[in-house]
Amino acid sequence: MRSTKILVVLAVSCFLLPTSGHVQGLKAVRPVPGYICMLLTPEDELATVQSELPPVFAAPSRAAKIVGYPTGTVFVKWPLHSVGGYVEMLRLNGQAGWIDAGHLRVWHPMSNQNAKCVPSVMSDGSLGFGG
Amino acid sequence: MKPRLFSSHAASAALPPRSRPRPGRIVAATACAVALASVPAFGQVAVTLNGPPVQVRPYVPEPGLPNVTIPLGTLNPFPSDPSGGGSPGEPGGGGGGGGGSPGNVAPSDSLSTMLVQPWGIAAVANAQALGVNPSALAATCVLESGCQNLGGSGAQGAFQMYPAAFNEGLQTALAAQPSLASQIVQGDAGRMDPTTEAIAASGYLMQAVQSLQNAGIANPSVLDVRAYYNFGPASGGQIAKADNSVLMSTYVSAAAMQSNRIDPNETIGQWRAAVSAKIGTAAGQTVMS
Repeated sequence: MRSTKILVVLAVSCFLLPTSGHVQGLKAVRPVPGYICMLLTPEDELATVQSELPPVFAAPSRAAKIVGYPTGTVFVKWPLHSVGGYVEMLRLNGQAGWIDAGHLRVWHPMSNQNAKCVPSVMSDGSLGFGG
Repeated sequence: MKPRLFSSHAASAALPPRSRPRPGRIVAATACAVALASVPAFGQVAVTLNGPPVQVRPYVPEPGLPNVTIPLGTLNPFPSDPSGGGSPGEPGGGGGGGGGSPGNVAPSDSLSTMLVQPWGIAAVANAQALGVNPSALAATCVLESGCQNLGGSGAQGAFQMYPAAFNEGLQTALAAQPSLASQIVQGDAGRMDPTTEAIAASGYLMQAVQSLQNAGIANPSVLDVRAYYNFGPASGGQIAKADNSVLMSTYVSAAAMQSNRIDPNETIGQWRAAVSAKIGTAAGQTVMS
């Protein structure tokens, strides 16, 4: 009887534990056409806090609303769409944004020279990085 | 293997009064059982205890008992453990690199490891006040320092934070819960005060969650935010959203790979598995509770 109670408590505890389905890891399913990977500048790569990264704007203007901050690799619209020094990009949540072109450079792997970067739709349906 | 002892007294007490054996039979049965227990049965393999027994870590100190502290460097009592002995990591290491694990952490004991620290209970309470899952905070200190308050010229403290990450984390936490201000040690000295740094680390985890949510991960797990904490915001989102088969070296600099003891051929999937092995079930838990 006591062991049954313990089992019930354990089962309920496991059910109540906050878990994420994202833990298993992702798989790239297919590439996203019309975008290429570009890198932020080396200074940006060294950021220790998000506010040290260049902002992503809702429109090609410094006065536009900041909609977020990029990762070190940015999905840039290709052929390049540049307006007033800002380049159109795709945020990882699927929204479009604009980033200062001065913070971008050609993509290359950080330390593995054979790697590739492919903007991809991932196994959970979100955007991510295929290789 | 420790021989099993047959407790005839316990057995007889469990029997109904009428069926209790006579004292003479009890003595004979006991002698027989002891003799049998001392001889390994055919086919059995004796197992010896390899290393010291598992340490019991009390959540609440026992009144009257001496205060026992485990000196630095004895976090992993099993010298043959291949995962032990790593150098501590730091949040937002960027190109400067983070660190490996200070020792082998048994599954799901991250919270126990933090709670046994003098500042552990305050850290848990403050994390809860911020809506941060205490196991997520505990897993962070386990991975960074084994929850030991380590000094150094760069990253410092139990959560191995750099000044910028510490300050922004603290600001984020205090903006969310201003009442925590009464507990913090002001200035950079706060990094070496574990209660203060735990608040800052909670705030930094909140920033990481927000960043990953903006990247399309609705409810990031401890494993999702690990790269953000260890390598910084530029690399963090990429690793959380990359194919498992991609090499870590694609998004992590050679210096950071080396200081974190990450093999050049290690994939993101392998790295995630290694982190999970160190923090157990905490890996799959969400950062925000």
